Amino acid sequence: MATQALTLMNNESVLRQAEVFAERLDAAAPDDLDRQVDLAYRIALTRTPRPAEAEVARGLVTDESLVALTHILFNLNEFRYMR
Amino acid sequence: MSDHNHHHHCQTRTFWSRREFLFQSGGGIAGIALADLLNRQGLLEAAQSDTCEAPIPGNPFAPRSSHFEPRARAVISLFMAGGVSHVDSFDYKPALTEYAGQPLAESVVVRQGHPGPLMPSPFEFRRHGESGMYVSEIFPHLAKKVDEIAFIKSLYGRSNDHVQATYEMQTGQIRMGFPSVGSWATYGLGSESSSLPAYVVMADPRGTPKGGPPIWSAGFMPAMYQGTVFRAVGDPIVDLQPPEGMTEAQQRGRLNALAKLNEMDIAQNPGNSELAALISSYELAYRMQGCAPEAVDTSAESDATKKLYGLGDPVTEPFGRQCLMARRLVERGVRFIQLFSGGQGADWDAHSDLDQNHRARAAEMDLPVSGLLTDLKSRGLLDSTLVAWHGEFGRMPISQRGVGRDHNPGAMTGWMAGAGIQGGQQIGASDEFGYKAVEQRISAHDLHATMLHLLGMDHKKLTYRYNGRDMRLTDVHGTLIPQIVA
Repeated sequence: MATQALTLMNNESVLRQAEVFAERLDAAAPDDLDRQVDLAYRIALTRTPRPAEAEVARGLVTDESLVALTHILFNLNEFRYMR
Repeated sequence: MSDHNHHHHCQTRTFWSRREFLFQSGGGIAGIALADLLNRQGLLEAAQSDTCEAPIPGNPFAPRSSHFEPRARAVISLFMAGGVSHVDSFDYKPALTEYAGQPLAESVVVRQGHPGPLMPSPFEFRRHGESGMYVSEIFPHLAKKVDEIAFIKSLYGRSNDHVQATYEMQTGQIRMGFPSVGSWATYGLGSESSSLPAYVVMADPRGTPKGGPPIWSAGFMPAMYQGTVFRAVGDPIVDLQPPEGMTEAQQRGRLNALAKLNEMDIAQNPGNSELAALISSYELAYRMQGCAPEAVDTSAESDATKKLYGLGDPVTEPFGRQCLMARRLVERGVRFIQLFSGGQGADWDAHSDLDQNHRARAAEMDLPVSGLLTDLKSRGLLDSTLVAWHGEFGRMPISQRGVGRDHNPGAMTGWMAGAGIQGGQQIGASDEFGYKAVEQRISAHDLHATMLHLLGMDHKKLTYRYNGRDMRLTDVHGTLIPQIVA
Protein backbone atom coordinates (compact mmCIF):
# COMPACT_ATOMS: atom_id res chain seq x y z
CA MET A 1 0.00 0.00 0.00
CA ALA A 2 1.04 3.56 -0.66
CA THR A 3 1.72 4.52 2.96
CA GLN A 4 4.09 1.54 3.28
CA ALA A 5 5.81 2.72 0.11
CA LEU A 6 6.19 6.19 1.63
CA THR A 7 7.76 4.78 4.79
CA LEU A 8 10.15 2.52 2.88
CA MET A 9 11.09 5.44 0.61
CA ASN A 10 11.34 8.27 3.13
CA ASN A 11 11.63 7.03 6.70
CA GLU A 12 14.89 8.00 8.42
CA SER A 13 15.37 4.65 10.14
CA VAL A 14 14.89 2.74 6.85
CA LEU A 15 17.51 4.98 5.26
CA ARG A 16 19.80 4.44 8.25
CA GLN A 17 19.50 0.66 7.75
CA ALA A 18 20.35 1.15 4.08
CA GLU A 19 23.47 3.05 5.14
CA VAL A 20 24.49 0.28 7.56
CA PHE A 21 23.91 -2.33 4.83
CA ALA A 22 26.06 -0.30 2.41
CA GLU A 23 28.84 -0.01 5.01
CA ARG A 24 28.76 -3.77 5.45
CA LEU A 25 29.09 -4.32 1.69
CA ASP A 26 31.88 -1.79 1.44
CA ALA A 27 33.80 -3.44 4.28
CA ALA A 28 33.35 -6.93 2.79
CA ALA A 29 34.35 -5.99 -0.75
CA PRO A 30 36.14 -2.64 -0.77
CA ASP A 31 36.32 -0.97 -4.20
CA ASP A 32 34.84 -4.04 -5.95
CA LEU A 33 31.48 -2.98 -7.41
CA ASP A 34 30.71 -6.32 -9.04
CA ARG A 35 31.19 -8.17 -5.77
CA GLN A 36 29.27 -5.56 -3.79
CA VAL A 37 26.26 -5.97 -6.09
CA ASP A 38 26.54 -9.75 -5.96
CA LEU A 39 26.76 -9.72 -2.14
CA ALA A 40 23.90 -7.27 -1.84
CA TYR A 41 21.58 -9.62 -3.72
CA ARG A 42 22.80 -12.68 -1.81
CA ILE A 43 22.27 -11.01 1.57
CA ALA A 44 18.96 -9.26 0.79
CA LEU A 45 17.31 -11.82 -1.50
CA THR A 46 19.35 -15.02 -0.95
CA ARG A 47 20.14 -15.28 -4.65
CA THR A 48 22.60 -13.88 -7.15
CA PRO A 49 21.46 -11.07 -9.46
CA ARG A 50 20.53 -11.84 -13.04
CA PRO A 51 22.83 -10.04 -15.52
CA ALA A 52 20.24 -7.39 -16.43
CA GLU A 53 19.57 -6.72 -12.73
CA ALA A 54 23.29 -6.42 -11.99
CA GLU A 55 23.55 -3.85 -14.80
CA VAL A 56 20.76 -1.68 -13.36
CA ALA A 57 22.25 -2.06 -9.87
CA ARG A 58 25.75 -1.05 -10.97
CA GLY A 59 24.29 1.88 -12.89
CA LEU A 60 22.47 3.16 -9.79
CA VAL A 61 25.64 2.92 -7.68
CA THR A 62 27.66 4.72 -10.35
CA ASP A 63 25.03 7.42 -10.84
CA GLU A 64 24.45 7.94 -7.11
CA SER A 65 25.77 5.71 -4.35
CA LEU A 66 25.87 2.25 -2.83
CA VAL A 67 23.26 3.47 -0.30
CA ALA A 68 20.89 4.16 -3.20
CA LEU A 69 21.15 0.49 -4.18
CA THR A 70 20.69 -0.90 -0.66
CA HIS A 71 17.74 1.46 -0.16
CA ILE A 72 16.09 0.27 -3.35
CA LEU A 73 16.64 -3.40 -2.43
CA PHE A 74 14.51 -2.81 0.71
CA ASN A 75 11.76 -1.51 -1.59
CA LEU A 76 11.76 -4.38 -4.10
CA ASN A 77 8.60 -6.43 -4.40
CA GLU A 78 10.76 -9.50 -3.96
CA PHE A 79 12.17 -8.18 -0.67
CA ARG A 80 8.81 -7.03 0.70
CA TYR A 81 6.68 -10.08 -0.10
CA MET A 82 7.07 -13.82 0.40
CA ARG A 83 6.84 -15.99 -2.70
CA MET B 1 25.76 21.42 -0.93
CA SER B 2 23.09 20.98 1.73
CA ASP B 3 21.75 24.49 1.04
CA HIS B 4 21.48 23.66 -2.60
CA ASN B 5 19.76 20.38 -1.86
CA HIS B 6 17.34 21.99 0.53
CA HIS B 7 16.45 24.61 -2.03
CA HIS B 8 15.81 21.93 -4.61
CA HIS B 9 13.79 19.89 -2.15
CA CYS B 10 11.47 22.81 -1.47
CA GLN B 11 10.65 23.44 -5.11
CA THR B 12 7.29 22.31 -6.37
CA ARG B 13 7.54 18.71 -7.40
CA THR B 14 6.74 17.72 -10.93
CA PHE B 15 4.99 14.44 -11.46
CA TRP B 16 6.38 11.26 -12.79
CA SER B 17 4.44 10.82 -16.00
CA ARG B 18 2.90 7.57 -17.12
CA ARG B 19 4.91 7.74 -20.35
CA GLU B 20 8.15 8.01 -18.45
CA PHE B 21 7.07 5.44 -15.91
CA LEU B 22 6.12 2.84 -18.48
CA PHE B 23 8.46 3.40 -21.37
CA GLN B 24 11.50 5.55 -20.67
CA SER B 25 12.28 4.05 -17.31
CA GLY B 26 11.42 0.54 -18.43
CA GLY B 27 13.54 0.17 -21.53
CA GLY B 28 14.27 -3.18 -23.10
CA ILE B 29 12.21 -6.31 -23.04
CA ALA B 30 11.13 -5.99 -19.39
CA GLY B 31 9.57 -2.58 -19.99
CA ILE B 32 7.66 -3.96 -22.92
CA ALA B 33 6.49 -6.85 -20.76
CA LEU B 34 5.08 -4.49 -18.15
CA ALA B 35 3.46 -2.26 -20.75
CA ASP B 36 1.94 -5.36 -22.32
CA LEU B 37 0.71 -6.63 -18.96
CA LEU B 38 -0.91 -3.31 -18.10
CA ASN B 39 -2.28 -2.92 -21.60
CA ARG B 40 -3.96 -6.30 -21.53
CA GLN B 41 -5.66 -5.25 -18.33
CA GLY B 42 -6.93 -2.12 -20.06
CA LEU B 43 -5.03 0.10 -17.66
CA LEU B 44 -3.26 2.39 -20.07
CA GLU B 45 -6.23 4.39 -21.27
CA ALA B 46 -6.36 8.10 -20.43
CA ALA B 47 -3.24 7.86 -18.30
CA GLN B 48 -1.12 10.56 -19.86
CA SER B 49 -1.82 13.62 -17.77
CA ASP B 50 0.48 14.85 -14.99
CA THR B 51 -2.12 16.06 -12.50
CA CYS B 52 -3.46 14.95 -9.15
CA GLU B 53 -6.58 13.68 -10.95
CA ALA B 54 -5.07 11.45 -13.65
CA PRO B 55 -5.73 7.73 -13.20
CA ILE B 56 -2.87 5.45 -12.18
CA PRO B 57 -2.33 2.24 -14.19
CA GLY B 58 -3.02 -0.82 -12.06
CA ASN B 59 -4.42 1.27 -9.18
CA PRO B 60 -6.21 -1.17 -6.84
CA PHE B 61 -8.40 1.75 -5.72
CA ALA B 62 -9.72 2.53 -9.21
CA PRO B 63 -13.44 3.31 -8.86
CA ARG B 64 -15.65 0.24 -9.02
CA SER B 65 -19.33 0.24 -9.90
CA SER B 66 -21.85 -0.11 -7.10
CA HIS B 67 -24.65 -2.71 -6.99
CA PHE B 68 -27.24 -0.06 -7.80
CA GLU B 69 -27.46 3.71 -8.23
CA PRO B 70 -25.88 5.24 -5.10
CA ARG B 71 -27.40 8.09 -3.09
CA ALA B 72 -24.00 9.09 -1.68
CA ARG B 73 -20.53 8.85 -3.18
CA ALA B 74 -18.68 9.83 0.02
CA VAL B 75 -19.14 9.45 3.77
CA ILE B 76 -18.05 11.78 6.56
CA SER B 77 -18.31 9.89 9.85
CA LEU B 78 -18.21 11.99 13.02
CA PHE B 79 -17.43 9.78 16.01
CA MET B 80 -18.01 11.27 19.50
CA ALA B 81 -15.47 9.16 21.36
CA GLY B 82 -16.12 8.27 25.00
CA GLY B 83 -19.89 8.02 24.66
CA VAL B 84 -21.97 11.17 24.14
CA SER B 85 -25.06 11.25 26.35
CA HIS B 86 -28.31 10.91 24.40
CA VAL B 87 -30.43 12.29 27.27
CA ASP B 88 -28.29 15.45 27.40
CA SER B 89 -28.06 16.05 23.64
CA PHE B 90 -31.03 15.13 21.42
CA ASP B 91 -33.20 12.62 23.37
CA TYR B 92 -35.23 14.88 25.69
CA LYS B 93 -36.58 13.07 28.76
CA PRO B 94 -38.87 15.25 30.93
CA ALA B 95 -39.49 12.16 33.12
CA LEU B 96 -35.97 12.56 34.48
CA THR B 97 -37.07 15.86 36.02
CA GLU B 98 -40.45 14.55 37.15
CA TYR B 99 -38.91 11.53 38.91
CA ALA B 100 -35.59 13.16 39.87
CA GLY B 101 -33.99 11.59 42.94
CA GLN B 102 -36.00 8.35 42.69
CA PRO B 103 -34.36 5.02 41.87
CA LEU B 104 -34.66 3.59 38.37
CA ALA B 105 -37.37 0.98 38.93
CA GLU B 106 -35.46 -2.11 37.82
CA SER B 107 -32.14 -3.73 38.59
CA VAL B 108 -29.42 -1.71 36.93
CA VAL B 109 -26.05 -2.87 35.61
CA VAL B 110 -23.46 -0.09 35.61
CA ARG B 111 -19.87 -0.10 34.35
CA GLN B 112 -17.99 1.70 37.10
CA GLY B 113 -20.27 1.60 40.13
CA HIS B 114 -21.59 4.36 42.44
CA PRO B 115 -25.10 4.26 40.90
CA GLY B 116 -27.35 7.05 42.11
CA PRO B 117 -30.98 7.97 41.47
CA LEU B 118 -32.56 9.35 38.28
CA MET B 119 -30.84 12.61 37.38
CA PRO B 120 -32.36 15.35 35.18
CA SER B 121 -30.23 16.82 32.45
CA PRO B 122 -28.38 19.92 33.63
CA PHE B 123 -29.15 21.40 30.22
CA GLU B 124 -32.29 23.09 28.97
CA PHE B 125 -34.07 21.56 25.97
CA ARG B 126 -36.04 23.56 23.42
CA ARG B 127 -37.87 22.70 20.21
CA HIS B 128 -36.20 23.89 17.00
CA GLY B 129 -36.94 24.21 13.30
CA GLU B 130 -40.18 23.58 11.46
CA SER B 131 -39.96 19.97 12.58
CA GLY B 132 -39.85 20.98 16.25
CA MET B 133 -37.00 18.65 17.18
CA TYR B 134 -35.80 18.92 20.78
CA VAL B 135 -32.13 19.94 21.14
CA SER B 136 -30.14 20.60 24.28
CA GLU B 137 -28.80 24.13 24.85
CA ILE B 138 -25.19 22.94 24.40
CA PHE B 139 -25.76 22.52 20.62
CA PRO B 140 -27.05 25.99 19.62
CA HIS B 141 -25.67 25.76 16.06
CA LEU B 142 -26.78 22.22 15.26
CA ALA B 143 -30.18 23.26 16.63
CA LYS B 144 -30.53 25.42 13.49
CA LYS B 145 -29.94 22.36 11.29
CA VAL B 146 -32.56 19.96 12.69
CA ASP B 147 -34.74 20.18 9.57
CA GLU B 148 -31.86 18.63 7.61
CA ILE B 149 -31.07 15.91 10.18
CA ALA B 150 -32.65 12.48 10.72
CA PHE B 151 -32.27 11.55 14.39
CA ILE B 152 -32.01 7.84 15.24
CA LYS B 153 -33.12 7.55 18.87
CA SER B 154 -33.16 3.78 19.28
CA LEU B 155 -29.55 2.76 18.66
CA TYR B 156 -28.19 0.16 21.04
CA GLY B 157 -24.94 -1.78 21.48
CA ARG B 158 -23.73 -4.98 23.11
CA SER B 159 -20.88 -3.78 25.33
CA ASN B 160 -20.57 -1.17 28.03
CA ASP B 161 -16.79 -1.02 27.63
CA HIS B 162 -15.40 1.75 25.39
CA VAL B 163 -13.08 -0.45 23.34
CA GLN B 164 -15.53 -3.24 22.54
CA ALA B 165 -18.40 -0.79 21.99
CA THR B 166 -16.27 1.28 19.60
CA TYR B 167 -15.25 -1.83 17.65
CA GLU B 168 -18.93 -2.75 17.36
CA MET B 169 -19.91 0.64 15.96
CA GLN B 170 -16.99 0.46 13.52
CA THR B 171 -16.87 -3.20 12.48
CA GLY B 172 -20.14 -4.75 13.68
CA GLN B 173 -18.18 -7.00 16.06
CA ILE B 174 -17.15 -6.31 19.65
CA ARG B 175 -13.96 -8.33 19.08
CA MET B 176 -10.80 -6.88 17.58
CA GLY B 177 -9.71 -7.90 14.08
CA PHE B 178 -12.62 -7.17 11.76
CA PRO B 179 -12.66 -4.66 8.87
CA SER B 180 -14.11 -1.26 9.70
CA VAL B 181 -17.04 0.22 7.79
CA GLY B 182 -14.64 2.57 5.95
CA SER B 183 -12.58 -0.42 4.82
CA TRP B 184 -15.70 -2.16 3.51
CA ALA B 185 -16.77 0.99 1.66
CA THR B 186 -13.39 1.37 -0.08
CA TYR B 187 -13.13 -2.38 -0.72
CA GLY B 188 -16.53 -2.22 -2.42
CA LEU B 189 -16.22 1.03 -4.34
CA GLY B 190 -12.53 1.98 -4.62
CA SER B 191 -11.80 5.69 -4.64
CA GLU B 192 -12.46 8.61 -6.99
CA SER B 193 -9.02 9.99 -6.09
CA SER B 194 -5.76 8.76 -7.57
CA SER B 195 -3.55 10.96 -5.43
CA LEU B 196 -4.98 10.54 -1.91
CA PRO B 197 -5.80 7.60 0.36
CA ALA B 198 -9.33 6.21 -0.17
CA TYR B 199 -10.12 6.11 3.57
CA VAL B 200 -8.80 8.95 5.73
CA VAL B 201 -8.95 9.08 9.53
CA MET B 202 -8.39 12.20 11.62
CA ALA B 203 -8.04 11.54 15.34
CA ASP B 204 -8.54 14.19 17.99
CA PRO B 205 -5.19 16.02 18.27
CA ARG B 206 -5.26 15.30 22.03
CA GLY B 207 -5.06 11.55 21.45
CA THR B 208 -6.51 8.53 19.69
CA PRO B 209 -9.80 7.11 20.97
CA LYS B 210 -9.79 4.11 23.33
CA GLY B 211 -9.22 0.99 21.22
CA GLY B 212 -6.56 2.57 19.01
CA PRO B 213 -5.77 1.75 15.38
CA PRO B 214 -7.92 -1.45 15.24
CA ILE B 215 -10.84 1.04 15.16
CA TRP B 216 -9.96 1.82 11.52
CA SER B 217 -8.27 -1.46 10.65
CA ALA B 218 -8.92 -3.56 7.56
CA GLY B 219 -9.11 -6.68 9.74
CA PHE B 220 -8.71 -9.75 7.55
CA MET B 221 -8.73 -7.76 4.32
CA PRO B 222 -5.50 -6.57 2.65
CA ALA B 223 -3.84 -3.78 4.64
CA MET B 224 -4.38 -1.25 1.84
CA TYR B 225 -8.04 -0.97 2.89
CA GLN B 226 -7.22 0.29 6.40
CA GLY B 227 -7.77 3.95 7.26
CA THR B 228 -4.82 6.27 6.67
CA VAL B 229 -4.33 8.62 9.61
CA PHE B 230 -3.93 12.29 8.67
CA ARG B 231 -2.12 14.27 11.34
CA ALA B 232 -3.45 17.58 12.59
CA VAL B 233 -0.19 19.51 12.21
CA GLY B 234 2.71 19.35 9.74
CA ASP B 235 2.64 16.94 6.82
CA PRO B 236 -0.67 15.07 6.92
CA ILE B 237 0.91 11.65 6.36
CA VAL B 238 3.87 10.12 8.21
CA ASP B 239 7.02 9.97 6.04
CA LEU B 240 5.29 11.98 3.29
CA GLN B 241 8.43 13.86 2.25
CA PRO B 242 11.98 12.62 1.58
CA PRO B 243 14.42 13.44 4.38
CA GLU B 244 16.48 16.63 4.31
CA GLY B 245 19.35 16.27 1.90
CA MET B 246 17.72 13.90 -0.57
CA THR B 247 17.13 15.74 -3.83
CA GLU B 248 14.18 15.14 -6.10
CA ALA B 249 16.66 13.95 -8.76
CA GLN B 250 18.07 11.37 -6.35
CA GLN B 251 14.63 10.13 -5.39
CA ARG B 252 13.56 9.94 -9.00
CA GLY B 253 16.74 8.05 -9.88
CA ARG B 254 16.07 5.53 -7.14
CA LEU B 255 12.42 5.12 -8.12
CA ASN B 256 13.33 4.63 -11.77
CA ALA B 257 15.84 1.91 -10.83
CA LEU B 258 13.24 0.36 -8.54
CA ALA B 259 10.68 0.34 -11.37
CA LYS B 260 13.17 -1.31 -13.73
CA LEU B 261 14.03 -4.04 -11.21
CA ASN B 262 10.37 -4.63 -10.34
CA GLU B 263 9.53 -4.87 -14.05
CA MET B 264 12.18 -7.56 -14.42
CA ASP B 265 10.49 -9.32 -11.51
CA ILE B 266 7.18 -9.18 -13.37
CA ALA B 267 8.86 -10.57 -16.49
CA GLN B 268 9.97 -13.52 -14.34
CA ASN B 269 6.46 -13.97 -12.97
CA PRO B 270 4.16 -13.41 -15.95
CA GLY B 271 0.44 -13.22 -15.25
CA ASN B 272 0.79 -11.99 -11.68
CA SER B 273 -1.38 -8.87 -11.80
CA GLU B 274 -0.80 -8.17 -8.10
CA LEU B 275 2.76 -7.16 -8.91
CA ALA B 276 1.45 -4.38 -11.14
CA ALA B 277 -0.68 -3.21 -8.20
CA LEU B 278 2.44 -3.08 -6.05
CA ILE B 279 4.23 -0.95 -8.62
CA SER B 280 1.21 1.33 -8.74
CA SER B 281 1.40 1.77 -4.95
CA TYR B 282 4.75 3.54 -5.48
CA GLU B 283 3.11 5.70 -8.12
CA LEU B 284 0.34 6.61 -5.65
CA ALA B 285 2.93 7.27 -2.92
CA TYR B 286 4.90 9.57 -5.22
CA ARG B 287 1.67 11.32 -6.20
CA MET B 288 0.71 11.81 -2.52
CA GLN B 289 3.96 13.66 -1.87
CA GLY B 290 2.86 16.33 -4.30
CA CYS B 291 -0.93 16.27 -3.84
CA ALA B 292 -1.68 15.53 -0.17
CA PRO B 293 -0.24 18.73 1.33
CA GLU B 294 -2.38 20.86 -1.02
CA ALA B 295 -5.47 18.78 -0.28
CA VAL B 296 -5.33 19.60 3.43
CA ASP B 297 -4.00 23.16 3.16
CA THR B 298 -6.86 25.35 4.35
CA SER B 299 -4.96 28.65 4.04
CA ALA B 300 -6.48 29.52 0.64
CA GLU B 301 -10.04 29.19 1.92
CA SER B 302 -11.98 32.45 2.18
CA ASP B 303 -12.34 34.24 5.51
CA ALA B 304 -16.07 33.55 5.40
CA THR B 305 -15.45 29.82 5.02
CA LYS B 306 -12.89 29.79 7.82
CA LYS B 307 -15.39 31.57 10.06
CA LEU B 308 -18.07 29.05 9.17
CA TYR B 309 -15.92 26.26 10.65
CA GLY B 310 -14.76 28.28 13.67
CA LEU B 311 -11.15 28.74 12.57
CA GLY B 312 -9.48 31.52 14.56
CA ASP B 313 -11.25 30.56 17.80
CA PRO B 314 -9.01 28.28 19.88
CA VAL B 315 -12.04 26.31 21.14
CA THR B 316 -13.48 25.42 17.73
CA GLU B 317 -10.37 25.59 15.54
CA PRO B 318 -8.98 22.04 16.03
CA PHE B 319 -12.21 20.20 15.10
CA GLY B 320 -13.18 22.98 12.69
CA ARG B 321 -9.97 22.54 10.72
CA GLN B 322 -10.58 18.80 10.49
CA CYS B 323 -14.16 19.36 9.30
CA LEU B 324 -12.88 21.78 6.65
CA MET B 325 -10.20 19.26 5.61
CA ALA B 326 -12.96 16.66 5.34
CA ARG B 327 -14.89 18.85 2.88
CA ARG B 328 -11.71 19.37 0.81
CA LEU B 329 -11.11 15.62 0.75
CA VAL B 330 -14.70 14.96 -0.36
CA GLU B 331 -14.18 17.46 -3.20
CA ARG B 332 -11.07 15.53 -4.25
CA GLY B 333 -12.83 12.17 -4.38
CA VAL B 334 -11.84 10.53 -1.08
CA ARG B 335 -14.46 7.86 -0.33
CA PHE B 336 -14.61 7.68 3.48
CA ILE B 337 -13.46 10.28 5.99
CA GLN B 338 -13.68 9.65 9.71
CA LEU B 339 -13.24 12.31 12.38
CA PHE B 340 -13.03 11.71 16.11
CA SER B 341 -14.20 14.29 18.62
CA GLY B 342 -12.43 13.31 21.82
CA GLY B 343 -9.37 11.20 22.49
CA GLN B 344 -7.69 9.77 25.55
CA GLY B 345 -7.75 12.37 28.30
CA ALA B 346 -10.44 14.64 26.84
CA ASP B 347 -13.44 12.81 25.47
CA TRP B 348 -17.22 12.52 26.09
CA ASP B 349 -16.81 10.03 28.97
CA ALA B 350 -18.65 12.09 31.59
CA HIS B 351 -18.39 9.97 34.74
CA SER B 352 -17.53 12.73 37.17
CA ASP B 353 -18.82 16.07 35.83
CA LEU B 354 -21.37 15.78 33.10
CA ASP B 355 -22.22 19.48 33.01
CA GLN B 356 -18.64 20.69 32.55
CA ASN B 357 -17.57 17.76 30.31
CA HIS B 358 -20.43 17.87 27.80
CA ARG B 359 -20.46 21.69 27.64
CA ALA B 360 -16.74 21.64 26.77
CA ARG B 361 -16.96 18.85 24.15
CA ALA B 362 -20.10 20.30 22.54
CA ALA B 363 -18.55 23.77 22.33
CA GLU B 364 -15.65 22.27 20.37
CA MET B 365 -17.71 20.50 17.68
CA ASP B 366 -21.17 22.15 17.53
CA LEU B 367 -20.23 25.12 15.35
CA PRO B 368 -17.77 23.22 13.10
CA VAL B 369 -20.26 20.42 12.32
CA SER B 370 -23.03 22.94 11.68
CA GLY B 371 -20.59 24.84 9.42
CA LEU B 372 -19.72 21.64 7.58
CA LEU B 373 -23.40 20.98 6.81
CA THR B 374 -23.84 24.58 5.61
CA ASP B 375 -20.71 24.47 3.46
CA LEU B 376 -21.46 21.07 1.90
CA LYS B 377 -24.95 22.28 1.02
CA SER B 378 -23.86 25.59 -0.49
CA ARG B 379 -21.33 23.76 -2.68
CA GLY B 380 -23.91 21.24 -3.85
CA LEU B 381 -22.10 18.38 -2.11
CA LEU B 382 -24.56 17.55 0.66
CA ASP B 383 -26.89 15.54 -1.59
CA SER B 384 -24.05 13.19 -2.54
CA THR B 385 -22.34 13.04 0.87
CA LEU B 386 -23.56 11.12 3.91
CA VAL B 387 -22.73 12.81 7.21
CA ALA B 388 -23.16 10.41 10.13
CA TRP B 389 -22.81 11.29 13.84
CA HIS B 390 -22.72 8.97 16.85
CA GLY B 391 -20.62 7.72 19.76
CA GLU B 392 -20.01 4.18 21.03
CA PHE B 393 -22.87 4.13 23.57
CA GLY B 394 -25.28 6.42 25.39
CA ARG B 395 -25.19 7.28 29.08
CA MET B 396 -27.27 6.23 32.09
CA PRO B 397 -30.40 8.15 33.16
CA ILE B 398 -29.25 7.73 36.77
CA SER B 399 -26.41 9.69 38.29
CA GLN B 400 -22.93 8.49 39.14
CA ARG B 401 -21.70 10.05 42.40
CA GLY B 402 -24.47 12.62 41.91
CA VAL B 403 -22.69 14.52 39.13
CA GLY B 404 -21.87 12.16 36.26
CA ARG B 405 -23.45 9.43 34.18
CA ASP B 406 -22.09 5.92 33.62
CA HIS B 407 -22.01 4.05 30.29
CA ASN B 408 -25.29 2.85 28.78
CA PRO B 409 -25.20 0.63 25.69
CA GLY B 410 -28.96 0.08 26.09
CA ALA B 411 -29.82 3.31 24.29
CA MET B 412 -28.03 5.96 22.30
CA THR B 413 -28.88 8.62 19.74
CA GLY B 414 -27.13 9.04 16.41
CA TRP B 415 -28.01 11.10 13.39
CA MET B 416 -27.58 11.19 9.65
CA ALA B 417 -27.73 14.10 7.21
CA GLY B 418 -27.12 14.56 3.49
CA ALA B 419 -27.38 11.81 0.85
CA GLY B 420 -30.93 12.95 0.12
CA ILE B 421 -32.10 11.78 3.56
CA GLN B 422 -35.35 13.37 4.79
CA GLY B 423 -34.40 15.75 7.59
CA GLY B 424 -36.49 16.85 10.55
CA GLN B 425 -37.53 13.32 11.47
CA GLN B 426 -36.92 11.10 14.45
CA ILE B 427 -36.61 7.36 14.06
CA GLY B 428 -37.25 4.90 16.89
CA ALA B 429 -37.43 5.78 20.57
CA SER B 430 -35.97 4.90 23.93
CA ASP B 431 -38.12 4.36 27.04
CA GLU B 432 -39.36 7.31 29.09
CA PHE B 433 -36.06 7.54 31.00
CA GLY B 434 -33.71 6.75 28.10
CA TYR B 435 -32.50 3.52 29.73
CA LYS B 436 -33.28 1.15 26.85
CA ALA B 437 -34.12 1.51 23.17
CA VAL B 438 -37.67 0.23 22.85
CA GLU B 439 -39.31 1.32 19.57
CA GLN B 440 -37.71 0.18 16.28
CA ARG B 441 -34.47 -0.92 17.95
CA ILE B 442 -31.49 -0.27 15.64
CA SER B 443 -28.17 -2.13 15.93
CA ALA B 444 -24.75 -1.32 14.50
CA HIS B 445 -25.50 -3.95 11.81
CA ASP B 446 -28.66 -2.05 10.83
CA LEU B 447 -26.73 1.22 10.73
CA HIS B 448 -24.00 -0.36 8.56
CA ALA B 449 -26.49 -2.02 6.20
CA THR B 450 -28.10 1.40 5.74
CA MET B 451 -24.79 3.17 5.14
CA LEU B 452 -23.75 0.64 2.48
CA HIS B 453 -27.20 0.97 0.87
CA LEU B 454 -26.79 4.74 0.59
CA LEU B 455 -23.44 4.07 -1.13
CA GLY B 456 -25.24 1.85 -3.65
CA MET B 457 -24.28 -1.49 -2.16
CA ASP B 458 -26.32 -4.43 -0.91
CA HIS B 459 -24.84 -5.43 2.46
CA LYS B 460 -25.78 -9.08 1.74
CA LYS B 461 -23.82 -9.09 -1.53
CA LEU B 462 -20.69 -7.23 -0.43
CA THR B 463 -18.56 -10.15 0.76
CA TYR B 464 -14.91 -10.98 1.34
CA ARG B 465 -13.80 -14.63 1.40
CA TYR B 466 -11.93 -15.39 4.62
CA ASN B 467 -11.56 -18.48 6.79
CA GLY B 468 -13.80 -20.48 4.47
CA ARG B 469 -16.68 -18.00 4.69
CA ASP B 470 -17.98 -15.17 2.57
CA MET B 471 -17.66 -12.57 5.34
CA ARG B 472 -19.99 -9.54 5.50
CA LEU B 473 -19.82 -6.25 7.38
CA THR B 474 -23.23 -7.18 8.80
CA ASP B 475 -22.35 -10.86 9.48
CA VAL B 476 -25.74 -12.64 9.20
CA HIS B 477 -27.68 -9.58 10.42
CA GLY B 478 -28.63 -6.11 9.24
CA THR B 479 -31.98 -4.50 8.42
CA LEU B 480 -32.20 -1.30 6.40
CA ILE B 481 -33.64 1.66 8.28
CA PRO B 482 -36.71 2.31 6.10
CA GLN B 483 -37.09 5.99 6.99
CA ILE B 484 -33.46 6.64 5.91
CA VAL B 485 -33.52 4.72 2.62
CA ALA B 486 -37.01 5.89 1.66
